[in-house]
Amino acid sequence: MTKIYLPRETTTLSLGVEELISAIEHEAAARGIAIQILRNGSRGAAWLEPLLEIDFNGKRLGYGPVTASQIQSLFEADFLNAGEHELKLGEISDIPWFKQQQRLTFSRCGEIESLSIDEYKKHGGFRGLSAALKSSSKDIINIILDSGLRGRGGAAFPAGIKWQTVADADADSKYIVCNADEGDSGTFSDRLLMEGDPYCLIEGMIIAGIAVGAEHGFIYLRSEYPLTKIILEEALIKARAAGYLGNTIQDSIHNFDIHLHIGAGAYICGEETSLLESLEGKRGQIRFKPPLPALKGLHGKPTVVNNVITLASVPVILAKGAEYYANFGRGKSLGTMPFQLSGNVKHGGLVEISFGLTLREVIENFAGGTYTGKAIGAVQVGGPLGAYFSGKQLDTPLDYESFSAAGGMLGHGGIVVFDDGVDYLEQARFAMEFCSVESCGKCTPCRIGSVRGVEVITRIRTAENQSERSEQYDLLEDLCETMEDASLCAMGGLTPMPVRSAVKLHQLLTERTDETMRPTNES
Amino acid sequence: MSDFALNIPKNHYEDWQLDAAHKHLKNFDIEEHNLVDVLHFFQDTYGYIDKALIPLLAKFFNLSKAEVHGVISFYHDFRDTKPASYILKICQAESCQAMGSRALTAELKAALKIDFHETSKLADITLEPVYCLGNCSCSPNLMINTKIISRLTSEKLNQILTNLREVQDD
Repeated sequence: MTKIYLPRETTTLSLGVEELISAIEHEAAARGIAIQILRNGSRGAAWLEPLLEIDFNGKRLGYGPVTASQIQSLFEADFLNAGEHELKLGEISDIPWFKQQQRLTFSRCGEIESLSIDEYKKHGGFRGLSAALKSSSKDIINIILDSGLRGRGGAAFPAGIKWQTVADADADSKYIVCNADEGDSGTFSDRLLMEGDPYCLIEGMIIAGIAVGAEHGFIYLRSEYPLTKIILEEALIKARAAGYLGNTIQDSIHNFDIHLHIGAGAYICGEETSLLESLEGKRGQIRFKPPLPALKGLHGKPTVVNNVITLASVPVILAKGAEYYANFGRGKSLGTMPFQLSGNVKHGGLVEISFGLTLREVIENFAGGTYTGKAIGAVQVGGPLGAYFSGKQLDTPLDYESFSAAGGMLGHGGIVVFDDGVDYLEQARFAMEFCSVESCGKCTPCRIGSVRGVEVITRIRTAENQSERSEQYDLLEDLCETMEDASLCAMGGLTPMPVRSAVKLHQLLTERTDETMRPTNES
Repeated sequence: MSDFALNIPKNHYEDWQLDAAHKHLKNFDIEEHNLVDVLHFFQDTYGYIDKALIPLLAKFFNLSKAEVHGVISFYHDFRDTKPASYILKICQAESCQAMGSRALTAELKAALKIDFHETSKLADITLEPVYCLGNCSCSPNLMINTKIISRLTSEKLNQILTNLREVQDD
């Protein structure tokens, strides 16, 4: 009986995988062929989804992207025995998109049945936990420190230092909080990981709990991910039944359980203190820092707040060692990073690679140009608070320091491509508008500044002459400075980043246009 | 487009009833559930948060009515009027913008003759903006109840609207 793998994952579902499965089952029954359909996660190549895979003599062969109308012809081509078909992609590991990656955190994602604990273990799962159960708290934290792992949510704070702070804090209870409020446009790595390899996140959280002495973990999941919620709920039940969660996990002295909490549609709740307020059932307004959440976090107790990818990178580090992980990447950006290609691209999806390739290399090697076939007009890196780069500014290496030096940030690894039809000024205006919609309202620069920002940028657009326009530009710069310096958190503090970078691109473009429009005898 | 099947179950809500809400509330444990959890439950049950719930929740959680109202109004998900059977959320964020979501949003508003946060008289649809559904590699995206439709085009949008109107007429 041939095993067929088809993802149970949001992107694939949005592309009709359930209808596809009905068609396959129907066709197989009509032909009297026995098949077994297994549900994996997506490997991240969204442009190949729905990616149908078969297990053929121990090899994984792919066909894709498959639609229900092609099922009959696939059966006629005998795809169950690796028959030739226009959709045949060959062995998955030979496809250049996958071959060029270094998948450490996502090694199992798409490879295994998402919810099978047996499959998870067969593919290296829970080896990190076994190592952690044999180690002292101090040893685990040292491994994380040595690996160089930094927070993958955006702030890139060294995970080991955060853990150390919580471990050293004296308190009757401590918490592990997983930030799964993945709100940045152009990012979906948390979702892919949770849907495709949920036990990896669970394992990472258990290890964090053992390291700092916490017995309770919380996953704060955004409400826009309904399928992820279902998969996590199922995974938590199975992990509990298998003795990986609850009291005396795997017959050790450690207790640890995970509670799933669903957000309610607020971007700001991705900010750690706002998330903690929300987790306590309050308005998601940010808190003053200090005290740091590591000392006074959830319910005033020492709390590790880490992003999904940070926690999901922990098992492989514990299983294979700090050195193994730190051998990937460069400078102070060690390990791998899942970059997410989206917007106007031909081949969108997630690629996990070592830090260090340039933005251009990633876009050229993986994205395959724009979807519309036009030239690249702008690339926004790092979500709605990240900078816009023009098609000519793509040679910055993708690591934390280089990007910061180039006036941007890597953030959560989102890369959103626009073609040359992009209206830079409109993107700048949107950045302000987004801030005004999503501001928690606690501090004035963010709450009021963003509203004024929308107005000023609108006036730049409608200005009747150059002097009126430059007056508004000055006002905008003044406003950006205030927001950057005086906002309480990154929402107001970083909104000037996309605004300034997009306005600059707009100015370059309009100056050039002014230049060409100027009569030659004047110059 | 022949592969594009659209059979999305309608949202069904209980009619608002204070006594029933009171009973529902008794099933919650203040040690285990917080206000946001309970609000999610009531919105799933009734489709919205009725004003009459506020004093009930305030008493249950030992908060002021203002505090409860503050939490409800803070989160985009919670609404104070009953929505249509179909809640249509169209993504307004950057990745979808790069693939033409601004024009599609305008088309959608024109077709339904409504703005965001309104319910159409032409169809059983409430329209909401959303900032990212996490399906950015197949932009633009739209969510109908809990189903995401990706790689949205004008043609696909028209088909969805026709389809939803037909369901309503049945």
